[in-house]
Amino acid sequence: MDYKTELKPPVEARYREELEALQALDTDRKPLNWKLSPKAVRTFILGSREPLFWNGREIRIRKKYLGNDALVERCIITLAGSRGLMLVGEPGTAKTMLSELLSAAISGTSMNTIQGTAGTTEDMIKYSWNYALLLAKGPSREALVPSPLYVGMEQGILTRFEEITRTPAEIQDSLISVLSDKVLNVPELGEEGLLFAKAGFNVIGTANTRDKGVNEMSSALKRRFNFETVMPVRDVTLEKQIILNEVEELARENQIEMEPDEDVAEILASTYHELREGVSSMGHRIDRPSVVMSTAEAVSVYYQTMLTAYYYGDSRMDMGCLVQNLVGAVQKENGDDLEKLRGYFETVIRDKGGKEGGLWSSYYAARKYLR
Amino acid sequence: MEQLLCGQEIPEIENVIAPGTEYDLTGGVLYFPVRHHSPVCSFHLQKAIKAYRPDCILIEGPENAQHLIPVLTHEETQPPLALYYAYQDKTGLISEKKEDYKCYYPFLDCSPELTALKEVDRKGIPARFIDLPYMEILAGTARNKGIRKEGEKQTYNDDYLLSRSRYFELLCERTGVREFEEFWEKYFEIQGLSVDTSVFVHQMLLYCGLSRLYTPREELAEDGCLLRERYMAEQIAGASGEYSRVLVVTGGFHTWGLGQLLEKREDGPGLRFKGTPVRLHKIDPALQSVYPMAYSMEAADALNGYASGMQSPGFYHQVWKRLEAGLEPEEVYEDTLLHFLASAGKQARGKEESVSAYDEICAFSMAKGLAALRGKKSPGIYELRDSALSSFVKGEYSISTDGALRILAELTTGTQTGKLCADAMRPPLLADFEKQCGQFGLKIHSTAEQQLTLEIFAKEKHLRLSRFLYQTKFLGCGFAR
Repeated sequence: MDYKTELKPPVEARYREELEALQALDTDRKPLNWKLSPKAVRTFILGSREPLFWNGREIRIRKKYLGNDALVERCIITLAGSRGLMLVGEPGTAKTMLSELLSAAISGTSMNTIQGTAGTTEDMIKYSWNYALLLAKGPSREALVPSPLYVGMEQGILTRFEEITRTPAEIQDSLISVLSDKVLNVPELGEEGLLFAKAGFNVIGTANTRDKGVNEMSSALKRRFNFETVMPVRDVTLEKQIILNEVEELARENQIEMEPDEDVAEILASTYHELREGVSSMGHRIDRPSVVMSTAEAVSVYYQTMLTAYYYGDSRMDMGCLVQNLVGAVQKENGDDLEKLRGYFETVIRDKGGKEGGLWSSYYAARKYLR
Repeated sequence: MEQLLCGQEIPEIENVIAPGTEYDLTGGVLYFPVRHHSPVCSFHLQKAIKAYRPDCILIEGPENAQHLIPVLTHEETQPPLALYYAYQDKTGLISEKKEDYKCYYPFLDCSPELTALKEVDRKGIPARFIDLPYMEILAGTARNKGIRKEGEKQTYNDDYLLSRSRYFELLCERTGVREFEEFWEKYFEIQGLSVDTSVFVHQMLLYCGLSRLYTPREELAEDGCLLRERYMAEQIAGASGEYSRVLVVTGGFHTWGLGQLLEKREDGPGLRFKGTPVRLHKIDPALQSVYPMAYSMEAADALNGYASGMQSPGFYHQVWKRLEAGLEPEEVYEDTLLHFLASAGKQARGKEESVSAYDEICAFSMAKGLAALRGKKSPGIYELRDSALSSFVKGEYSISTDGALRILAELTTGTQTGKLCADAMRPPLLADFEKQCGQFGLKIHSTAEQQLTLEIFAKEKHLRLSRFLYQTKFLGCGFAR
């Protein structure tokens, strides 16, 4: 499949070269059915200082997940073990991205995914039937339409389960026996209906913690997973770096020929950081908006502003436009949040504008858009 | 360590080791660089003492505690202990504020200094503390530097010299570890157990020498470091004239400084001191005092902000216990990890946190997997914490779910307190305190919290105990609340 015109190519397509190079040069021991060894998976996600030489080319492995190397290491080891991996945290903390990276690196595909919603049923998780064939020829493996969990077990690859806590509790619990015994029973197929999971099978779940429409996970299910809490980025410099990296990639994929502006990224990162932490860099308390100020959101705001500049402007980031997009991001639930943002501008940004001048002043001047 | 120092850099780096300080069992003076409270340093020090058979051991410690060495090595004395140094600056020698100064010098079971002293005791050879007396160190240190740093509990150990500089940030980045303590554990504590003593000492000298290179000389002067090294070097030179095999046990950071100040004599055995001799001040001996005291693991834990050496002394104490018991170096850390996972799990179940045996199994296998992934020979305390975080915490990690981890943290800090032998000289207040605790039957050898119910209107003994506890509360020492 040609992924060049796709809106969002899967991870394994975007980084095909890196994965191929890593696989070719990988000499460490691999768990059964893994495409890469744990060390190579780690290198893929966390990057390597030295470039790899493969197929006559120099290939740099970029660091794709910034913020917590130890977390990534633990995830890799969990997946090599008998328990599933559950990534939990606030929305916008790159859980899905990490899940895709792990899946692409370990199993070569990130597409074996179940999207959890309130309407998810067991057939969407385990299997369903091609009813025409079922009625014509009776139950057979041919008539069975496998869902991602079945595929994972049959082929020995990872199954991703996004937003697992959005599915109704009864549906979640159907995972329990599969995860303990690693066997799926299809009664209609009689004796042939016992599917034993092949080596390499495991489940990566993600769950948002602070959101509406999220159900509790039963303790029985929790015990089958190792939980990893993905925290929001705590370091402003790191957040700025993440914004720049992500935006650069988006721009490249969509043929936007515009360099990211570091100073604007810094202002945006600082804004998001301070509003999320509730304290300014001078140590003053700030009223935190109730909406989640995630890094993913910051990337969005930046990218939107960039697009406006590229298509409508002269390829220079406009602070007025940035603030307008910021309003759109903040004002999702509560009218109060906009008030808090205004308050933030009138205090912290005003001070910064006065002290630093330049871009910060224009940022402060753009407060007129906070309506 | 090897991968970091390969290629053309090696010849230059070898100059980082001061001449005369290399591990040489045939020399008249053998330098043994240590990090305080480090099990691997104790492990190799024991081997070095066995191989070198010194007839005198010199130890980095203020010399005004010389007379307390027998107390430290007494068979009834149990670590954790500390030497408590005090100086009343009535004459304004240190500063015109004429304040009182104090500092602690902790000794744990796994402290190399204590290991050395015990060997000395067993073999009946002389041991000496060779650092300046406490008040001289104070006099030689700039305000708010080193041992005079304000706002922190003062400990004598100056390990911070080995871990705070730009060099270490880069080192940590390059080797993929999170912080200096992890670097130390991976390359020294764990890896160091499986190399020969001579290789270990060589790597210590390289490492300490490099960290020395990156510390500006002014800092060393202000910290009192240079002054202390001059005095210690003088003592070494003196001892080298009297004894034929002198073992010098000091913090690794100082070994380079000492090597620079001493050279071989042409006119006979021993070393000559080539620096400027230190002139001591004349003071009233009553103003300076030093006492031995029982200490606690909790107080010694660097994580509590007391920067006295290694973090999590409870963990390394267990490692040391296993080394002393003769366990193979490859098994020591895994065995220690099992101990902590099982203990934490058991205590957690006692407090109704849901940690099952299966969680412990998963945690142990995760710890081993992480060690392999990170290129560590055995899993260490970082893998212990990581694996507990993954396996023991069910749900989002927050204050409501971290009970099991806090239990683990307490265990790795350690709850032991030490005991002094009966005839040790104690400050009178402390002696009375211990006597009263004995009379009331209070258990004071653990820092774990205990609850007491007293019927102060029914029993006279309880009334007296209640008064005693209120007295300690008045003193603000945190013994009772």
